[in-house]
Amino acid sequence: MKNQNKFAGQVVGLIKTLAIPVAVYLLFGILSGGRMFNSRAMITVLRQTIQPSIICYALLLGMSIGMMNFSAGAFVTCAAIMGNGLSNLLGWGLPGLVFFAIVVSLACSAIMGLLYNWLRVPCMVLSLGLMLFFESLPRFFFPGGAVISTQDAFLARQPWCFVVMALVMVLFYIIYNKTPYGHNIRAIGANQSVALAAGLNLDKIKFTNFIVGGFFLGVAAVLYMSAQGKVQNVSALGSMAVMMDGFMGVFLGMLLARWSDPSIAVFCGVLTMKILANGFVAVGLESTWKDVVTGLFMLVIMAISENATLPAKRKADRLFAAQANAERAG
Amino acid sequence: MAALSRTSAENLQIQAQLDRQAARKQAIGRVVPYLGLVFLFVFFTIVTGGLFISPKNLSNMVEQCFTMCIIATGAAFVYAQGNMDFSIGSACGVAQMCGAILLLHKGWPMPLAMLVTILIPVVTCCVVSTIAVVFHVPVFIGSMCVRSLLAGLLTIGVAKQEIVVPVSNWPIMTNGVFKAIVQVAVIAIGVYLFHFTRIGKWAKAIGGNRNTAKQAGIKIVQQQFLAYVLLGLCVGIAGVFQLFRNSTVSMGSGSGIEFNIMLAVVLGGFPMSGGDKATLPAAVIGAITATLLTNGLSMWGLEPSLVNGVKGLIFVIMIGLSYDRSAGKLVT
Amino acid sequence: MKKIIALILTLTLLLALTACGASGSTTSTAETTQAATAADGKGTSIAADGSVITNYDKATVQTDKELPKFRILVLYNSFTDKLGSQYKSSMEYIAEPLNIDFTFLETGSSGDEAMAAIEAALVSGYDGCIGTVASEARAALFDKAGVPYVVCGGMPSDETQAKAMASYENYLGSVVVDDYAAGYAMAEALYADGCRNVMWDGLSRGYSGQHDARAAGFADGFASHDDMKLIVENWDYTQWADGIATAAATYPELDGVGCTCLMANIYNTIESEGLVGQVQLAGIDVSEGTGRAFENGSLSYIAGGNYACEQICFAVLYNYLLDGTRVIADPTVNLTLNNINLSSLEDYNNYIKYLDSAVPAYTAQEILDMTHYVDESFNAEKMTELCKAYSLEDVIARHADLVQ
Repeated sequence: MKNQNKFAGQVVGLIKTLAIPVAVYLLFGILSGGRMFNSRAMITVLRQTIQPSIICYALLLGMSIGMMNFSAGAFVTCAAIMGNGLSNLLGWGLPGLVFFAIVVSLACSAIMGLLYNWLRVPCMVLSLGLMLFFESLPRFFFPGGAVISTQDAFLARQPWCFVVMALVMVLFYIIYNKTPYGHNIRAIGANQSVALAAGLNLDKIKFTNFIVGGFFLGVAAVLYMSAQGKVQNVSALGSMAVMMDGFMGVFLGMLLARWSDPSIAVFCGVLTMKILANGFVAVGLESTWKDVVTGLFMLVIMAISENATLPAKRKADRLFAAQANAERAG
Repeated sequence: MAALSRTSAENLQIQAQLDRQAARKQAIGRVVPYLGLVFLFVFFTIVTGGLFISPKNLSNMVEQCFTMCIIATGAAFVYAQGNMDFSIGSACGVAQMCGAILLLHKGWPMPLAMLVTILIPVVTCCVVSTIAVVFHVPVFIGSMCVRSLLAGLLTIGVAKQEIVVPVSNWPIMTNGVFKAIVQVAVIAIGVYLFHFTRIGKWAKAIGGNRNTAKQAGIKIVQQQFLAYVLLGLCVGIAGVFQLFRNSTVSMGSGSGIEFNIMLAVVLGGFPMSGGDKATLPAAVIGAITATLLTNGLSMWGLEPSLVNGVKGLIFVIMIGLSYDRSAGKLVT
Repeated sequence: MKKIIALILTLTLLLALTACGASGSTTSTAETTQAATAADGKGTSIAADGSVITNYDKATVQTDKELPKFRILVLYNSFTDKLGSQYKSSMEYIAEPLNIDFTFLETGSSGDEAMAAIEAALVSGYDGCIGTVASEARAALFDKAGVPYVVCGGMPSDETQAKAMASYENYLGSVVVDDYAAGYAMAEALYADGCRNVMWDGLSRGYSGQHDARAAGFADGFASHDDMKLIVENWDYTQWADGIATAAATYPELDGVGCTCLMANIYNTIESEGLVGQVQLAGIDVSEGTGRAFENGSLSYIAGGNYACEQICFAVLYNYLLDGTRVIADPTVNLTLNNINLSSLEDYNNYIKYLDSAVPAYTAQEILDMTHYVDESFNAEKMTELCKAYSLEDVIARHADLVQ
């Protein structure tokens, strides 16, 4: 009975999670005169959701414990360029790209984690400085950026991209829900002071957080390199563009995570943003309005999210006040 | 157990030692930005063979640090409260666009058009503050959303019409002496408000401890709005002059200002968390240091893309030295 | 934990050393890379280690007296993309024979940062500058510094701005390719290949005069055919490739795409989405993947050879530096260079052979021939004629004996 209730609760939660992306899809589908209601369009949107979602997973791990990382985009471009460059130098092809991209991303994350633990400064601030640094770093080694051959770039294409996404999603689920590390970051996210008092080694957990996030960013870098074909060095905060889709999606994902597991919620959050972007093309709206609509949409979502419990809280406050007044009168 | 066995005199001794250490550290934190400025001056003068301090380059640097110094003055009030605003770059761009459209396409008189340019960031900053206060959306997220919105509006506006300002029609707007006067005036007013009025004191109090400030009778919401208004005014003033410096508005206008300001603030030793250790000169010194660094590295021969990498490294070092890690604060 | 950290950092260090140490083997790996992308040009290419390689033959000129030395500042967003690397290579090619000391400055895209970087550079003193931004602020900046300034590939946005810029003594003028004609040709090529439902992938209007001119040309091109429809427009440069995938999915009738800048990821998208044979491409800027696209038949037209603008700009500047001659008679009127129009694999192969291999569009001698150093009678009229004559056939005719 208990299991049945739990299962029913999960199903309801999943439905609630899917409600927003489905609603947005239906809206644009109708506005586009049914053009978006075809499997090819849906698959295209799903495919475009993959790489930002993986970046999102890395961001979410940090934000679960209040750490905002602006340098995720810089890690992705650095790993993509250096990973592909090193692989080309050694002639290792795709396996080389995967290996080196993940190693470079892990190294960047390790450096950030070490500095974070050593300097004791807010992650957001530290990530700003490191973003500039890691944007410039690949320029020393590979000033021309990196180019991948077509035959090696298949991971960004279907069905391989979906295989990668499925594997990453399962991995994230396991890490977040079934490992001590995942348990610990949820504890820290709930109440850092209590977690510290309970004996959790915050430094170690936060460092692990960077490393795990770095792994996901390395995978995202492989897909990014495969999709782009050529990745050039960026500068002056240009790497923010790489992570911006994930950035917006993570906030939406955190809202949706109230109803289902973050591995699904985050994907749905990014999916919603991608449906929005694709919907503009489908409806024939000027793409220049996309940023305006995205900003407004996010504002509305966040306002609803932050105030969702407000009516219940006010009701509880009123009841409490009434009770207190009654007791005083009595 | 060890503490229980100490006498109260010993505890007082330990406390005094800790206080001395803290005071020493504080003093170092205050002096480092100024020392850093001097060091950079000397360093770049040497490596550029004296070109760095040539009258031409000094004049260039005064021109280049104008925008950052003005905005840093306004940003000090917001950062002192422990807040931030990621939309100021896009706001600056939109302000320039609107002002230029009114001036060029609607035939408005220049002072009036520029007044609109100054007021638009005030409005956008107030919107960010309203979102935080009324809807309880964290200011960081709210300002990112507003940033996206404004960037979109800027792109749309620029696409609709050419925005090219014939700067030779208003030579005073590019006159170095006039700009220097404006810069000094804004900073002077900012210093006065920050250090000699309740506005600054209350801003620091809010940044120090919001609840205590509230209990002390400070109207948090009102002061927050005021800080954002001051920031908006400074962004607007900077936008006016930036319009004439660049003579054109594009979808990249104003981009990155928010992050550069954050960098500048840190470089100057201004505490990101706000509080009583915040000083406005620190923010301005940081802006000057950032400009100096960019100029010096460029003159030294470093590519602009690598200049940013070096700035990032120095930023990390500076924040490590200057950030206030008060005991008992759990850092996120 | 510390061991893990140490291991990761050691690995990173080893990787970095490998990257640096492998520069000795650049030649062989570069050849491998070049062989793999043989269709994408050898004149300037990106080596396996990411460095830009120039494979031009050594340039020589015939001179009876020593050429004066000039210091010239060259500005561009980034010298590591295809066009930027060609700009740089075509200048480095003439540096030694023409006794020029070039400084290449990447200005990025932020107006303020670019101005600051240029101001810093100008302090060290230059004889002239070639840049890409045509604005009154830039003209004023260089005029104040007393440095003659030529604009490559950019143009004043309107007559008012052109006149304002021309009022500055040190502004010599602007050299552009015929972007409008390229845009028009794109639409015509798509129509000729049977495309009737097309998409425009462009850069946000107002950002660049060149891209706006291409968009205008494309718009006029498809408007001239009643049976050609523009069914999708995308002005967001971050969505150029994804936008095509989305458009193809939601508009199955889509059969042609005009793109203001054809990049590698666009070619990849056409292939990965299975759109080869279904959607034709037309665009600007030869880059990685162009040869492949011609081979699989998905490319109808591409305009290239824009980098010759830089060489013409140099000739304009050099004439002025030599004896004050202005070969752009009226700085309010842009000097327009033809496009190199490529519509077939044969065209593309010829482009690679004659414009992106042993020599650039103009040899060092040919550039010197455009100046008063060789020809005292060279003037604005001759320069205009030369630019009008620029074409693939023109380059083949001039360089037939230089290229094997």
